[in-house]
Amino acid sequence: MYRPPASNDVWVVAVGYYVNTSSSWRPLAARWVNSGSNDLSLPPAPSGNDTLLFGVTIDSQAEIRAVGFNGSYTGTGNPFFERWNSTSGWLTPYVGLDNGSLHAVAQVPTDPNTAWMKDIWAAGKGASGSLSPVEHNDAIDWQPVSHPNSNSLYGIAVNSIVMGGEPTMSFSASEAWAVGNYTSGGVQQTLVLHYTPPAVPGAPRYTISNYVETTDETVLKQMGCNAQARGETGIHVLDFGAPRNWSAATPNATPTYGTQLTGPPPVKTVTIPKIETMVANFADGLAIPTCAPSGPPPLQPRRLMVAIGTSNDIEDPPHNALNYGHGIAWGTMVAQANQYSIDQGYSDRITFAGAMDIEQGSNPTATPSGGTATPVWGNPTPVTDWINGYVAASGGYDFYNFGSCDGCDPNPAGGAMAYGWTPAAVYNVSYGIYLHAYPLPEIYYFQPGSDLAEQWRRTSLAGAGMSFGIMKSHGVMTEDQPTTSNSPDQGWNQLWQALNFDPTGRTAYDPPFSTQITQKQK
Amino acid sequence: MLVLRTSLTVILLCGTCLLLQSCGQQHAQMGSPLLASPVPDPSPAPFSLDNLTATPFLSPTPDPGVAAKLTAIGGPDATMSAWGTVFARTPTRPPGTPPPTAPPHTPEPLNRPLGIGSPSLGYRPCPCTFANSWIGRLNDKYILVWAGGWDRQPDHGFLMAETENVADGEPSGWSFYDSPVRAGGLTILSANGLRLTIGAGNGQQFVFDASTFTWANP
Repeated sequence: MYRPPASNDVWVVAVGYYVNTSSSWRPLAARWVNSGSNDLSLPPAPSGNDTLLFGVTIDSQAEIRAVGFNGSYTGTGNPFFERWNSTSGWLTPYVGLDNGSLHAVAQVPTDPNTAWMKDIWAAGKGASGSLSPVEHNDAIDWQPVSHPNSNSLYGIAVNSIVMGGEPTMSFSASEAWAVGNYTSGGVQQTLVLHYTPPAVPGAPRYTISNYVETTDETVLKQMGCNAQARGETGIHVLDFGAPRNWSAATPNATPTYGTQLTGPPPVKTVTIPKIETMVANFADGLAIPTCAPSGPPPLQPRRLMVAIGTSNDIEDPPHNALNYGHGIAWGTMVAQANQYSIDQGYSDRITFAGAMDIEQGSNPTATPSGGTATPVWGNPTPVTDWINGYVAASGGYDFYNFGSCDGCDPNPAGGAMAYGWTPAAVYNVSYGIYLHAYPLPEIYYFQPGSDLAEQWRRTSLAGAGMSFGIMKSHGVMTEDQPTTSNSPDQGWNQLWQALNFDPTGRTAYDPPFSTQITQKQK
Repeated sequence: MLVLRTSLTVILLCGTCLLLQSCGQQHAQMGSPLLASPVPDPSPAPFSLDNLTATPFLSPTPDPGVAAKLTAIGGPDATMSAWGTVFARTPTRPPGTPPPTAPPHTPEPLNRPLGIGSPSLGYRPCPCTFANSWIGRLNDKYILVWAGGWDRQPDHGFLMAETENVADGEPSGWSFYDSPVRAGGLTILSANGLRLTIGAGNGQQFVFDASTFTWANP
């Protein structure tokens, strides 16, 4: 049943089957809108087969999902899926790979703002000797879910799970119950199958990363000291802002690479040699013995990956700096910083890596009226150029993408990723085409329409058939904006849930680290 | 009726019990995600500076993702990306050479430019888009106000504001102030002392008192 918004109508949908004059079994679907009945006019099912529908559900966006059987009524066949929406009508049906038929379908209701997320389950009866099929749809596709029972399932129900105080959100899958029967000793017994997502393990301790808004090396040394005092282990990002080339205005000049630091005006800038000095000071502070926390030594040695970050910028459209040469300079700087760590005897505790806050674009429709549009972020090509330079010069030290995946979902309706970005392109720059590249995704917010964790799960899925397979995020980055942001544990839990609740296990992973970035210069 | 209900319950319980046994055993063998009972959720260890040295903490365990990636590509320097591992290689500088020196440091005064300015921050503190900003000063503090709207709710305008110590730049942290009514994204139109006139997308105007971070009557 479905109630269209702002209407007194009530829809009731039903599915079934009939035998036509050629003695073939054909699917049937009907919709009643108040007193009238409308045949939904199913398109012809795959020819030459019997097709029957046994179960149906309709969601809050009036999308109908029906399941059944396609094959030989007296022989074998496969699960069959039909889908209808008010925009496109019946879409191309899908025939599952399992043997058997589906008898029931159910889905978690979704908030209109999260209509791009689905959590649909179907269950049924296996062919003789086959497992009873259980299928799950996460809005990407239908996937069979393995289970141990060779039986018949006739009904299924789902239950949304409250996570992070947001019961209307789904995290790739929720709780499901299927009922049916099985045979034991020649006696039919009641069967209840229950899928409950895996328990979320405790989030790792988080480090506190920094937007570097100062050019004062002593502040960096203090940041390092503070990191040691907190007993940090994991990844600590030092974000030096947007790449710049200070001699770009002079034709044929040797580039003078650096960055423009984040923060309110006035604009502050640093050259790459200056950044190297600053991160060396951070390492010095991290190694000061008096900065160590008091008490007994840790049970495991503390190690910190200090990721020296820049961004793909929003204010460098000619890409004077977001280019191969800047990547070379950055990679060289990271290699030299590591050499400094080795020289100083820090290398058992401190490793430097390169990093970039890679983003895809602002939402142009959200530009405040009368204001200045926030420029969109760069397209993938200069980012790839930059990373190629980094990889060529860094000597294999890791690279982290601590960015977002804006537009990785199709919300708002009709929305798309900006300027050539695709989930596959995000996968490539984060993980897929570089041996030493890893994502450290921003999971800043959790609100309808901005489920960043689910976006990253989908980005990971984009790589399922590509070079390195699904992404192994090294951790999660949150931000210390108390009004709007996830806490470190909330952000990490959300990514963990998105990756691991999928009952097929295809994106399962346990990100080992967590960090929270702050504008505070501590 | 009572007898029938009891029988059904027994059948259900028997079926479930059998399932519990068989499912549990087979789950371990097959790695099936379908279970007959939930797994207890261990409580995470609280984060506290006090117990940092006394409590074992997660990682640095070997990263299976790294292993998978290395297996895929192999290569002589493959283990370099194993977390926390540093390899001595051909030095890029002679060992023992100090890092490049920066010019002598002079403490930098903040010197924030006062008045209405650019929306640029260099990072995104919220899922939002800014139109412009204003910086003022009250005694020993800067007052920073950014105006804009939420990305997914274009009719929802807000101000983001914080204070900063002039002496050391220590920020108070951003806080958010929704417009009194939903009237579209916000822009700072003018400032009269610490009273800001704010324009909304639908043409409405509001007044924000930047000394108290409150909306005032126009």
